Amino acid sequence: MMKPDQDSQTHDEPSAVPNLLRMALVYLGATGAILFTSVVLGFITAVVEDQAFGAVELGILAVFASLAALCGWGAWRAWRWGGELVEAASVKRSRIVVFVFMIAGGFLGALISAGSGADFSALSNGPVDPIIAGLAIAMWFIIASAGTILWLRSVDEHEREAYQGAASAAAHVYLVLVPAWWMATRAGWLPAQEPMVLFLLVIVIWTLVWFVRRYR
Amino acid sequence: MKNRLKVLRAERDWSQADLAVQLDVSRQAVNAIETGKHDPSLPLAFRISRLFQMSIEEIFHDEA
Repeated sequence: MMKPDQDSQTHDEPSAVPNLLRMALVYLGATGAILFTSVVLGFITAVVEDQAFGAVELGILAVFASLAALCGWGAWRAWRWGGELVEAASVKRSRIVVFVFMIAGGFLGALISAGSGADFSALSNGPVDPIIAGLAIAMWFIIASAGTILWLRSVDEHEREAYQGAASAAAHVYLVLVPAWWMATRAGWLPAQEPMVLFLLVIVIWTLVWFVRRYR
Repeated sequence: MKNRLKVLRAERDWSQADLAVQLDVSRQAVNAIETGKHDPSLPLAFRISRLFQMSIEEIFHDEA
């Protein structure tokens, strides 16, 4: 008779690959697909602007497009590795919200890129077109806020607990980091605070803690 | 908190995914409950008890 706390799995569950590794592969593949798709789009934009489209450019484009497709395929394969073909309705609902978020995020990134001209970077503090800035701010306030509430209402309690635990960890890091950096700046040890560096750091910690709590 | 979820599931030849669908949670949630990494809320514990037609105390027991 099996003991309830033993972690042996039944035949149709992802026993061969630890869950954490499987999901790490999914996220790695998805990140690679997004990265290489961005490279392809950037390359096409540069080629169109320079009006120089030859065999070499076509070859480079084909390589990056293949890498994007390979990463996307790899992410999909890793996702299906465990054979999770049946899923609860709440899981499907929350995934739809995440996909809508990703599309909105991609649109927002393209919008900010278009409004930033040559000075586009996630860490840029350069000027941006006021109309695009207004649209981006409206998207954050309306879509991000409403989407987060919708997502939190669609996920199960385990996912919510992982998300909120990670949020707490990220908030505590922020609470320590901001005054420490502020004090270090005043002492002349560090340059002035970069809000986007802090933002990205908090997001990374939030994501990592959520990931471990969700898939450990 | 310890529980008999894995045994009860195995007796019915259900996978974690099968149980997750019936409880409307993710497979990860079922796995976390079975391995004691997540204690279910009272509403979820009642859903589990109704599904297996057993009392909560017959499925979950305090380690103390």
